[in-house]
Amino acid sequence: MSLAAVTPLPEACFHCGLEVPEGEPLFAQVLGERRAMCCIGCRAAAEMLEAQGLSDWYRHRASPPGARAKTLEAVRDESGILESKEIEAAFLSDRSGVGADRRTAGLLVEGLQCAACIWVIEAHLDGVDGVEGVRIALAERRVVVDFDPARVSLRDIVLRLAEIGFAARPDRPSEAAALERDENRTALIRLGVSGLGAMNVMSYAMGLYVGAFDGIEAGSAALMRWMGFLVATPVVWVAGRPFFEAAWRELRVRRPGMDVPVALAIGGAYLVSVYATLAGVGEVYFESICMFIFFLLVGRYLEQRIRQRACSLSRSLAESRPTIARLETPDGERVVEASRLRVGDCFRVRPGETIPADGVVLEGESAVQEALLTGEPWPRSVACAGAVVAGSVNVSSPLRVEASRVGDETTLASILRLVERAQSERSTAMRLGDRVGSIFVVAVLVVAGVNFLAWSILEPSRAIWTTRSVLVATCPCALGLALPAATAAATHALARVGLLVTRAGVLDELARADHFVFDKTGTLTSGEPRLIAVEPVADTDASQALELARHLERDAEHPVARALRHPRPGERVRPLHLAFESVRVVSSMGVEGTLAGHRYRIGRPDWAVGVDAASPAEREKTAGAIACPHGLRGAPVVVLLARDGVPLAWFGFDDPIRPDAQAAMSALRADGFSLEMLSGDPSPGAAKVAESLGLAAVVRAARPEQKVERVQALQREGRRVAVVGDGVNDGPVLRAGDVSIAMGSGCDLSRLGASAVLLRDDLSLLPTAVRAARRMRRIGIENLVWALAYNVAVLPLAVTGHLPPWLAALGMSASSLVVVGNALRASRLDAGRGEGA
Amino acid sequence: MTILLVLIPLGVVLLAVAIAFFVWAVRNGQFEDLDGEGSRILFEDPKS
Repeated sequence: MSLAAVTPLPEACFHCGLEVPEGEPLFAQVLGERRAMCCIGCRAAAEMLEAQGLSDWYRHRASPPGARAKTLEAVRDESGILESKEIEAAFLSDRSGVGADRRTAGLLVEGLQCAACIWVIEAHLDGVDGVEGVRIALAERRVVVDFDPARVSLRDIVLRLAEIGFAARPDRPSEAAALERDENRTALIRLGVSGLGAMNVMSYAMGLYVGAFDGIEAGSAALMRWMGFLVATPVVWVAGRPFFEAAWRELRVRRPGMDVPVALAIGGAYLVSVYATLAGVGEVYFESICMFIFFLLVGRYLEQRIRQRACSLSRSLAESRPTIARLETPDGERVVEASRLRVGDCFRVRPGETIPADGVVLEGESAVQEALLTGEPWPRSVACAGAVVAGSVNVSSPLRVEASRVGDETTLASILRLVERAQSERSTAMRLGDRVGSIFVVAVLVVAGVNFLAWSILEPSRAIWTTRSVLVATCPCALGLALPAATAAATHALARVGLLVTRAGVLDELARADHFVFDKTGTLTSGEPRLIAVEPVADTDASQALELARHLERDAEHPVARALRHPRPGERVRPLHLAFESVRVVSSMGVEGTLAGHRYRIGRPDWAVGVDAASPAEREKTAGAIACPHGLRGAPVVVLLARDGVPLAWFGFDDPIRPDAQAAMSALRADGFSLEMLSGDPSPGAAKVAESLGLAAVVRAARPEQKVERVQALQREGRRVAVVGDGVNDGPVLRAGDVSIAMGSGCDLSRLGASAVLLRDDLSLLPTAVRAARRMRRIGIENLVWALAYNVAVLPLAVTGHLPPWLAALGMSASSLVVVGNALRASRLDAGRGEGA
Repeated sequence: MTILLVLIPLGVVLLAVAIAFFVWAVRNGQFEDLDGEGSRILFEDPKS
């Protein structure tokens, strides 16, 4: 990694990558050079890294980080909860064998992105007295710290991480995670045992193969067989155990699936080989068994890892919020865990904090952002007696709330439960696969049985040997590998580019889909407003008006304020020099402030010109008087800047279409999909989005139920529908689709309902995924056809006793190899315009 | 070919050692994070 490659643009802060404001510049000495810094916080962080000799972080990081997640003050405030020993203890666990005075805590760290972060965190925490071990799992964004609670507290560790810019949240040691880890370890051990065993057994088998042609001493041959037996036995019983267990489960519920033929093949071939070893005659198949088990385990392991990663990421995020509450007690405000709230408790929520429970506002007026639940970025205003839900964020001013539903009763929790239930259901494709598998198994058993009976009557001495040949020849090894191998290859390849598949059978459904349904906000559009036009009134200068608006909105956290502050294309950011006095944020109205004796207001047009809290009728009258300029009619959001009640300038905002949307749509259309947009947004802006992307049918359905109905109507027409969405309000639609994909930046809950998640907000992954899925399906079918054709072709030979067992075994192995080799082709992805179907 | 009587069992013993070592490594968490460790070689020791 060269330094040049990771150095941000000259105008950007060397530490965080944000634009450096003009005015008094800040610099820090990093890596032997003077680097520009955007703010004091970044300079402090850079100097601290430099002072500790950790500035190599800038060299190792893969990309400059985005905006800083949280200020040090915010973290200090939130982590105050950990001062209570009781609460701290809840997050700690004893790790057996690390000593009585050591505790282990897990932290979920935001902004953990690359190996450089691992390095800087480890190096920074290593210097802390009392910290004895740091382990970091990059994929799960977890840092596990072993420490001595007598010398350092969990809060100190969280604060140390905040110093270098990482917001960490303590994470309760979860049983599900421990279970998952054990499962992974067992799977890995099985994989290792079967792989190592297979290689060794293969070498004995080679000796036997060559010996069969060149002549081998009977003693040596016996040795090879016995050694094969010795090594293959643990492979079959340790590594192959999941197949036997699954087959037994399937038989008990009388629904034989693919595990039954697999277990039958392994068990049958093993018993036959053991018999041959003991008797000293006939062929052994130990190497085939071991290779077969190994290949199957590799596929299963990869699938399992990818699924777990997708689930654990969204689960940990969902579990970790909301964590704290400011409970009102007789002796003042106290910070407690959100789970300790009871119905009827009063709590306070400061601006910027997450609301910990469903409740009713007792005091205060503010706006809450419910993007977590609705996917809608615009805050909704709430006042006294208004309802708020857990998980939404208080945007503008403090609220006092009485809890009405807590813990598992909240809206958030109930949505989570619904999603979990939906996840446990099996897809139709999977059931179909199971049925086909069962039919095949039954057919094999019938053929083998009939064969045995026929030979018993005709020539009893050959009955056992021909039956064995039939079982080996029709061994569904290749058949068993056909689909899983292709699926594993494609799933893994897609996970590498950023599409995580959360459930089995998803790619198969995706390959058969023929209709895409898109949500608008946050899916086709970025979900963040963008300033599109400034319309000055009368003789006001547009850039001057923008300057005033930016100063007024300098500290506001509303999305509109952020959009105003964002530099327009080709514009240089100038320092903010005007000093507004008594700046006040009026919730769901706007911001006001005083400058040089004039009162300025920016926000809702009627409010800006001075009609505060008037009656609705009155409001409507003035709204007519202040007519929005014609050029801004189409903008979904319009705000007005006014001085002493006189309009100065209008600002229009829209929700920009993602830059990659256009290309993705045309690629999907070229692949034969029909596309449509379902949006809850009634404004003409929605229609414009659909039009500019060329989406044929726009259905403006306001409510989630209507969206679901639309999807179901399409399904009744015989369409196979893929749904792409982002909010929790899209949850029901996502579940209704045959296959569903959630945007990575969407709320964490919608990911739980979706069958696949885009980790990068890049719509162009969709055509890539569709092509990969289609190729996977084609390869799977090729594999199935090959395996079936092979089995059918050799069956007559085996039944009539013309197939020598060694040839049957060789054919079986070759057939499996062909299938695996073919499946590897499914891991090739084409990003551009490749073959369609 | 009597040497086979020594060499092949010896191979099996080595295999058992290899598997035991692998199991130890898995239980010890050596395979928990496969992404970060690969880059560790690039890091210099912190200058003290």
